[in-house]
Amino acid sequence: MNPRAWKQLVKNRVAAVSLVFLVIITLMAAFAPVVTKYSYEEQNISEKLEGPSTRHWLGTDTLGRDLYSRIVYGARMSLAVGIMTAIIALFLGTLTGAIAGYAGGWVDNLLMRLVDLFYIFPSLLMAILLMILMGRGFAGILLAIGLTAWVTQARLVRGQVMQTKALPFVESARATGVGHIAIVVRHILPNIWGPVIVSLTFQIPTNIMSESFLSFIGLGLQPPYSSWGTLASEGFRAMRSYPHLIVFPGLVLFITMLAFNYLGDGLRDALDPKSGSGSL
Amino acid sequence: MFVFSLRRIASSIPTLLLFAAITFFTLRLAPGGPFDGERALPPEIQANLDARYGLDKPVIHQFGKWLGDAVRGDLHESFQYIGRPVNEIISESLPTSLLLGALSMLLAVALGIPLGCVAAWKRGTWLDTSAMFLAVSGVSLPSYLVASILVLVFSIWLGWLPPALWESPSSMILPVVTLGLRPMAIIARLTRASMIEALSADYIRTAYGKGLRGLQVVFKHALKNSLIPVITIMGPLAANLVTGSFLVEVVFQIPGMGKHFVTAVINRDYPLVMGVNLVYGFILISANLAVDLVYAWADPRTRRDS
Repeated sequence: MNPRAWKQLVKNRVAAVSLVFLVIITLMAAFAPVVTKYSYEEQNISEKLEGPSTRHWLGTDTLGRDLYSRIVYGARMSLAVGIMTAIIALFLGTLTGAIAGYAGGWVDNLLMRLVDLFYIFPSLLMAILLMILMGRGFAGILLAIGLTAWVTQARLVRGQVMQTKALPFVESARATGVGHIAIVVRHILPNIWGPVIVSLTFQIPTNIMSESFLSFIGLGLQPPYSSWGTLASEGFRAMRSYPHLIVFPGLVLFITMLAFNYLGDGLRDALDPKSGSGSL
Repeated sequence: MFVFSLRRIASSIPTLLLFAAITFFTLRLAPGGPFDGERALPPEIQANLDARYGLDKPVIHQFGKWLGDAVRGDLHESFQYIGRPVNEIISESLPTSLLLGALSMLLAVALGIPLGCVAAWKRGTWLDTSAMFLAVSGVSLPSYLVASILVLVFSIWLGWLPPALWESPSSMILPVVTLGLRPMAIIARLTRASMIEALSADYIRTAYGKGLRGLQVVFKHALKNSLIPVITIMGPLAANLVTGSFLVEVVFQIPGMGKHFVTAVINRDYPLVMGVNLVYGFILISANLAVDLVYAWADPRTRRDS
């Protein structure tokens, strides 16, 4: 990132605070064993369903597991899913979108029909089918979310490439005899990476949310593994009597989503001041 | 324009076909069958059942028969609800889902666009900040959290609205708000962004120069030009409503089509899965098509190849 954009990002207080928060929560997730006293699966029936206390900062769940530890370990799963699926989407989407947008004609038509196919394929159905085929594991979730998310990226990149390739500097590059691949990689892509990075920042929270949604309806990770979605799902069932079980995971999820969204807004202003493109 | 529309409509037919084929064959690849119970059925009974529903034939043959019948409007009988045609199940539950989706979309547009306009118009003021905080919260809250908060506050604590079912208009408020919040937030943000761009254009300065008043400029001149991105997002939003309606229908116990979406796959109720997804696929393709056509109408440069 160039210094000017970086300065503008840091000047935006909300975005800067969001960035700091996300760095902290990522570090906590990475060093989970260091920052927690209990393991995420350690059960203690004699201490079940306690409210927040000095022993258990955020209380305990139905099996007496420490909720704070479970949230920190849950962050590992949620963030990992969010980031890895965004990378899958970035790779597939940029490749497809760039080829379709640059080539145009029947190539574009064919690739866009493929995108349409994934587009109309309801993500929920795709997730269930993949889970049935691959088992309810980490790989199934990654594929299920990644295969839905890349479509948005492909459409964005295609649109950007189509706009950019009509600009005079691309035409002059072509006139001087630069090859097609070089034009796309060296001239077009560097000019559109702003919107792409911004959309990636929005993609991560969307994917974290998709994972939490799948886990919430019981199609996500299986116990004892936890993500924020599985925690919220467990909390939802005990909501009326033990609200802390849904309030804390829900709050952490909500604040993280807010941070990603505000950071994305800040990045957009910093990297791509002209852009009017929104986010999903 | 007419040729462009025809071409777009024609090219979406193979998409729908391919979608149906993929769903059909993946479903058959999955382990387990529709009549698996606690205990395995005696082989003769299993064979009879398979023959009765045509499951003894090759899968490709089954797909051909399903497709042939589907084109003629017959979606076969459900396995799970014995003796009930899928057509009947869909025609009973689809209107509820459509109403839920349409009301949510209406709420999203009716609140989202004015919210975005006001935020853009009063850019940088507390009005803008709070409108955008509301919008960012809307995208940051998973629908199950929205649903639980709404039910907890308005049904359990205040007792104002029913916590579930789909009967009186008052029972529709919570599900529609739950489902409409996210699209509302997305529309508001998008409207604000493209409105800010429009407001800095020369023709807006001209409008002000002519002595027109602020609100009039915002709503009459700038809005018209900033709605294109908002229209484009309607397709994906319709898709979100489709997947979102499943959760809302389950949480609020609404007798819509959404609940079949997941349960039918888990029960391996092949005809119901195919029927429900055919309808969803059709709705989504139509939504995208409508968006493309409106887009092409609004911005002639996108009418490629015609």
